[in-house]
Amino acid sequence: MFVKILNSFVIVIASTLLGRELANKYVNRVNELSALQVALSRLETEIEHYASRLPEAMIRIGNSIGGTAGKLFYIAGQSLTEKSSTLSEVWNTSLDLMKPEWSLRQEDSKILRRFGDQLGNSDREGQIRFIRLTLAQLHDEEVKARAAREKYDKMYRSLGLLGGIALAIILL
Amino acid sequence: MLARDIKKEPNISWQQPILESLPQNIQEIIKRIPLSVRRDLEEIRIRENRPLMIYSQGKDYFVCKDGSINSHMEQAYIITKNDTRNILQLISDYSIYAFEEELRNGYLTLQGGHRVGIAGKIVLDKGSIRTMKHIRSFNIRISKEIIGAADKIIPYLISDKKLCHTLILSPPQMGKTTILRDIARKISDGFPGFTGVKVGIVDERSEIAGCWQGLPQRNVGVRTDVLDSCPKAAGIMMMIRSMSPNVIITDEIGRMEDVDAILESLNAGIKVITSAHASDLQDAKRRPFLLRLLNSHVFDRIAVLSNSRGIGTLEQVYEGKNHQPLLAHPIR
Repeated sequence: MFVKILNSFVIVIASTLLGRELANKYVNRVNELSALQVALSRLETEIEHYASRLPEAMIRIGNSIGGTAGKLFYIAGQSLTEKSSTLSEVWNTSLDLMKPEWSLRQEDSKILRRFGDQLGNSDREGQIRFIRLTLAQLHDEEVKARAAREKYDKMYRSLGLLGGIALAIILL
Repeated sequence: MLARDIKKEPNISWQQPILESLPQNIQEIIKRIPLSVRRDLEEIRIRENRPLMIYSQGKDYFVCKDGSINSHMEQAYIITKNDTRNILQLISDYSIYAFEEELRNGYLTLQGGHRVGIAGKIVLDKGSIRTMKHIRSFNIRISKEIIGAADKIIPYLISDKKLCHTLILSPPQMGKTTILRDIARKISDGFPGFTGVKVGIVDERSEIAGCWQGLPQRNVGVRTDVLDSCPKAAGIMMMIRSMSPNVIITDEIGRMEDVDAILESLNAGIKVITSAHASDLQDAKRRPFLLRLLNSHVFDRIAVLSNSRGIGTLEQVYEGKNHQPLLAHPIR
């Protein structure tokens, strides 16, 4: 009997954690999208007002905002200082490196990849326009992500706990 | 075997910053150019869809994929669209937006003071140049400073231990800027018989000091301040007001307003050393702004450069007031 109760506990805990993990994906995505927007706004300022060069600007932004978005900027900035490949290659490699670490979805990555294709390639006005466009797109995704979070965050959490309890009762 | 040769070779000072501005594939090609040619490299010419070329020892060559050079274009490496795009990213540090002024002027300065001339499609805004796009041609000019280039001319620029107002006349590519730079270094550091003085260089085209992010990449002397990429007329006035120089050095005066600024600085008691495009004194007198300068007899010395005995030959030095020649024969 004691073993059975112990098993049930383990099942409930595991299932709760699983539910929380799934729910966290929604929470993290919202946070990451908003951090990316902060980073891009900073980049906009660096380009518009200081005409900073991309490698140093990216490292600076990466260091100051931290988190996964900061790490992306930091990694990209660092690889740019090596001057061994093109900007879009560096940006895409950095995105690939970050992939296991964040909860962004395919559509978010697509926006970021498009951003990398244009970055550094035009005059100041063009860059600003382009960053603003990317910011707007990320904002749209963030709104959707928030809606999804409202919907699924609680659901997965409850589902994890309740599913675990149900399973435990059945097995008892 | 080639890789070993590259390792063993002596250090060529210009190589690092130039190579860093080129994509990997072109770097490899340049590194394999025979040392004898590479050492004296003056220009690397990059034109999209056309052969990679270099200019060395007064001749141009086509460069093949394996770094060998010849005068037939058939085997030469053809520059691709990717190459030009990458070069633009590399020379601008991936930040072409930070170089709007440079794009308008048609060149960028690399670390080390080397200049990259660029050509593409000009975008106009109300009749004036706004920016350049579709950049397809690059001329990477390797600049070398020649310490001691001014040794021959310096004795003529000093009379009674005082520096003379000097105008250097020279056709293009005769070493005018190199000599100006070395004059700046010598009078700024000082030398036996002459105590160093404060020098202000107004470097409109970043050629004299070869500044990179405001830092002179050439030895222009310890008492020298540089206003980089600054229009001459405005720069001369700024220098006078802010940096209290004893001498102002500037390159290639070419407009009436430059002349006005120079006359102004003479009134402020500052010595001026400058240069202009002209093959000799007679030629200079045919140009209105130079005629005005010469007629006002403000210069104490007028030096003329030529290549009659090799680049940088001091063809003649004239006394500024009465235009009497001071040299018996050209010296180099």
